[in-house]
Amino acid sequence: MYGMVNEGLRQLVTRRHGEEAWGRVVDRSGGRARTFVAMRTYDDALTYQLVTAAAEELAIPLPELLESFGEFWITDTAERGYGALLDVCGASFPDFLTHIDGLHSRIKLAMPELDPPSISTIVVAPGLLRLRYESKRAGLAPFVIGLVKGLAKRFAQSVSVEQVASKDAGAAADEFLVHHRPLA
Amino acid sequence: MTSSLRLDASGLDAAFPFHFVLDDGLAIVATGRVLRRLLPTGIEHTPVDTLFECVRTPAELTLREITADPERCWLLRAKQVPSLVLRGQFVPTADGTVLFVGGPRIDIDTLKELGLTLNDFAAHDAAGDFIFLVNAQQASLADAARLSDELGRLNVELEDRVKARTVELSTANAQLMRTASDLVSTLEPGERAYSC
Repeated sequence: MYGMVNEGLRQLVTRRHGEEAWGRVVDRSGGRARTFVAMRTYDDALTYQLVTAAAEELAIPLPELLESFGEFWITDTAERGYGALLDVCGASFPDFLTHIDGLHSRIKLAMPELDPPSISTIVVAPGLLRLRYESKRAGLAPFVIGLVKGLAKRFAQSVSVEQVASKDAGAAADEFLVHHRPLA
Repeated sequence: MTSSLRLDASGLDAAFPFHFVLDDGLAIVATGRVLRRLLPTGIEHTPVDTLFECVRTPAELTLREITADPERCWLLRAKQVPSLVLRGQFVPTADGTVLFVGGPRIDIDTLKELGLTLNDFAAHDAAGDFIFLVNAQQASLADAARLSDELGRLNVELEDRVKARTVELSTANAQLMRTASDLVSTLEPGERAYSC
């Protein structure tokens, strides 16, 4: 994974729990690097170790931490370097989500090592989307829920996300129903 | 190899959302789905040179000029939407019309100004990829600055620690010397010589 993912986790932990907490997370993960180069690729295992160590160190259930991280990824990490770009990635919440695979393929020019998941979204009805997420990486469904919630914030939508199929439970892919409406 | 390929309006829209078609009198007869949104309404049958002007070369938009070389690159500015500059080429078609295929020259600010998103571009159009590329480079520079600041901060921290440790060591050393000297002063002259 690109370093910006690990860096995003560092920002989340330091922002909410302080620099020292991040130091303890890194120590617990068995790693040494406390900061990461955004555009360098690191082994996926390192990210998993850091996320697991953060959940343990901060006593937050892993799925809950992953969901917070997904939301933070949109509202803070991506916003920081790519905010203006996010503005032109979709005219609306459904428009953004239904074109996300296309966006990933456009990013490949800038980030050739990117190994993105496949996310296909269809509009079931106004205010209701069905999102299918397929990735070779395991256990990241809560992160996807967080991403969707972060995006909803960006587009001033209230949202609820319901997982209706789970790869961990034997389904071919994770699937979610996303109910959304404009914030009052 | 030849082909009798024909594209209907929806095919043209999907492949070239910024295209337009001119009749042999150079009036607009059709526009792509995204270009239609950017230009004023009711432009059908409007002569092309009332809507666009050449940016790079002072060429006249005449049938002779635009059909002289289908591979020539044209830059056309929309007179009523100055931030819209289309880059593309005019291709004569079998039915006597002229098809313009191309897309807007873009950066993020222009996209925002025009109310466009990357989803308005055809899947084959790499313009959006370059927006990501430029943005990624800018983000990388910011990241390098962050890492440099972090390195500077760590360096200062390390220097401060070394200084503090040096002071500690020199204080401890002085203390040790004093203790040794005190000890020596308590010894009898004979013992003192022996101790030295």
